[in-house]
Amino acid sequence: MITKFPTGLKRFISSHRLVIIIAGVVVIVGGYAIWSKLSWDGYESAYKNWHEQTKGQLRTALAIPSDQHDKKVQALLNIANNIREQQDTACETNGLIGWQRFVGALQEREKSCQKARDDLVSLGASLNAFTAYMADDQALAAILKRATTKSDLPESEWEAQVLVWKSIVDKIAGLKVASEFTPVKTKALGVTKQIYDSWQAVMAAHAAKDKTKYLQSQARLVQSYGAGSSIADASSEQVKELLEAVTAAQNSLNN
Amino acid sequence: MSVRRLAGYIIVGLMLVGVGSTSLIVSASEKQEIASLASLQTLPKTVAEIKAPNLQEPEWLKQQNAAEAAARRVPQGGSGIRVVTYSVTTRGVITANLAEFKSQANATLNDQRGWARMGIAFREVASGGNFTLVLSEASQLPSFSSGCGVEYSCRAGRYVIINQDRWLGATPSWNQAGGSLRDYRHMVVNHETGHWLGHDHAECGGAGQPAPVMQQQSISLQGCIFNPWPIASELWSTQLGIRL
Repeated sequence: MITKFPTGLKRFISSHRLVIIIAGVVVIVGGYAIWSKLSWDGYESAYKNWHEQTKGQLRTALAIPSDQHDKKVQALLNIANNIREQQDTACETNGLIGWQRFVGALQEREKSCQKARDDLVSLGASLNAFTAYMADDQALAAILKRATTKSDLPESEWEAQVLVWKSIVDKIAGLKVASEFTPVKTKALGVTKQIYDSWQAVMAAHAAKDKTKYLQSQARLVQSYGAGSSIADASSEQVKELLEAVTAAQNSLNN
Repeated sequence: MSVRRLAGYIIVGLMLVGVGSTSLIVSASEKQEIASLASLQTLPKTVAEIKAPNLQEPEWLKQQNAAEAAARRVPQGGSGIRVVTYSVTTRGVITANLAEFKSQANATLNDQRGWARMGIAFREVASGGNFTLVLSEASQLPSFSSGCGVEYSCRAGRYVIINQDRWLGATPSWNQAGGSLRDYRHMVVNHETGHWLGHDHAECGGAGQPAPVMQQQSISLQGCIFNPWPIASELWSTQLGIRL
């Protein structure tokens, strides 16, 4: 069934056809222009919000007291994870407006977004490295904690110490760590092996009742324990480098 | 230029300075917060708790010692390795990390670049010992002896006293020369322990040479280069009867 326009309307359309076509084109082009403007504004506010939110999250995480170790590390890790989740899709433009980037101002917006994204990715990478390091730090500390003992040891407990140190050396050797933690692991392995060797020398001299070797090995045992602080020194060096990377990333973020 | 306009410029200038300094403060505090993340490490605390146990004298050794009355008092082996004991104490208000102080001082004393080369093992004991290592608030140094000043570390009798200010910040000349804090700590512990071992101050042996550890390197290098460890000619001790 064909709809019939009233005669008056038909006449109006035929006499104003050109005006109606032009008006239609103006409405479509204008609508597209407005929609494009809104899309680009949304694009800009999205990356700025992401940027500001991350800075806020970092401030919040840093404000967590250090005695809440796990909570603080988790907060830093969450920031790194959030960045990783968004980094691939950030700064993508809708195909319907992406072609407009030949306009200088829009191109600048896209560059600003990419700069913000790169800064956030650097921050995420530095936080990721730091939190991975902290996990290794805790794992190694947990192993070494088994070495704490009472200050005076009767000979009946020496053998147990040898076994403890053997197990510590084995556990450290089998520890899978991040590359940043490798120097600390290597140092810890060297020091604990030295302590284990010293204990073995003490036990050998003790079994042989060789006073000279016993006193010598006892002194070496003391010296080998003294080298323990070099593990903490190695760790402090690594942490310093990791935190310099976080500071550099944060500086870029603020500039 | 009218007075009103001049006042306007001054106000705007002050506002800009205010905004600038606020942002600097914020940036510095954020840097400090990031630096404070280092305290999340568990290792330094754990390592500081691991100390060499005191091995109770085994029965067979007691019997041997009873038979060798002369050897009973000095725990010295035929190899010449001798155990020197020391206790650690503090005086005044201490803000430095005491566990780190104990741990680093022990590491320095037993380092094979240091006095340990003379065949000595230094063992920390809970009290007494052959000497007392003190971490002291700077203002408390003169309370040990009139010869001790607030500026530097000191040795008075059995007390080997480390000035907390120097421990935390070395000296301007050391820092200006690019010396690390850890090396300064090695140097100051070795230097003051050297006094206890029987050493007086030494002079630079010649321009460009490593300074003797007993030289007052915090005050003047006399052309020598910084050196935190005793040089070969310093490996003797009247206190322990060790000769060159």
